Amino acid sequence: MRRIVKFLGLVFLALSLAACASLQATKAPSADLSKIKTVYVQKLEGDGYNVYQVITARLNATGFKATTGASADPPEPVDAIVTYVDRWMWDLTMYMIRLNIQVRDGKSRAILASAESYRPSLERRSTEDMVAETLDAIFKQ
Amino acid sequence: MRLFLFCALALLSVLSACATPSQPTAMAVSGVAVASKSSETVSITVTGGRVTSSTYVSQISDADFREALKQSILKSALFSKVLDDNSGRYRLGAYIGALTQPLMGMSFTVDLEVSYTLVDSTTGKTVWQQSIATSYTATGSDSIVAATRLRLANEAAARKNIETAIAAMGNLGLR
Repeated sequence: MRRIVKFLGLVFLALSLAACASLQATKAPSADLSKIKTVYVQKLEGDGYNVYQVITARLNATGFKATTGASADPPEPVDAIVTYVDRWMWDLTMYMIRLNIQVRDGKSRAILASAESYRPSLERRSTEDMVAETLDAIFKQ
Repeated sequence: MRLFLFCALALLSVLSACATPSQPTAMAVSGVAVASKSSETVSITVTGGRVTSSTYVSQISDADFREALKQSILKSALFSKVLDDNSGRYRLGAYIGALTQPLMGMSFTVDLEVSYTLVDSTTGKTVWQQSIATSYTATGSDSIVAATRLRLANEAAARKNIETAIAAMGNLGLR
């Protein structure tokens, strides 16, 4: 019995170590994010959790002038376009396990910076928190 | 006690061997049709990549993508030589901006987007800038092992990306 308990303990430890949350951000060498004032958030096709609205709200709350829409092209010229990919899992409830956000040049759409937040079930957070930490990681580089 | 140790070692080996990095030779391309070749040298810098061990899934590292780019450029003879320092006539920068991967499934579609910048070091002017997005779907027929399937999808998306980049630079009419 003690062996089984030890083994299960090791399994739990190993799984816990393998499932650490991570937050990683990168920036193109020549990118200057400080010049960005206006942002267009492009809604991801099939976004069933309204992540685009959360991103837009967070950008507006942090001093940007952010708009959103489903079109790939912003209705008015902007400094940057934000795209994203969200992944969800189910563990008693649905939760966002991974969020990738890219900040692109407003004209060329080339990626200027990006970040990924990964949070497994035990370290899950709200969509608002995931969006906030990912955007903060991008703009604080 | 022996059984316990055996199970523990087996579990740890499975966890530690679940992902392998994308390989440079598998990401490199050969036989790319280049319209015009340059007699000058090039230096390559890659940023934005990730090391596989930090994320537990197959990734593309800066060093491996650079090596794949180097091998591909040499095979296509796009430039005369690829220098390991920053003294090349041309400086090619590649920023791996997005590597979007699935969490699970039988078909793994990986989307890769790389922003390339080619600068003439003698004038300091950017002679080419392009963001190239490619994707590849690896299926169960590629590999039944999910970790391997993901790596194969990474490598194929990278190959397509590098191939497009070399073909585009080959149309620039570089000196």
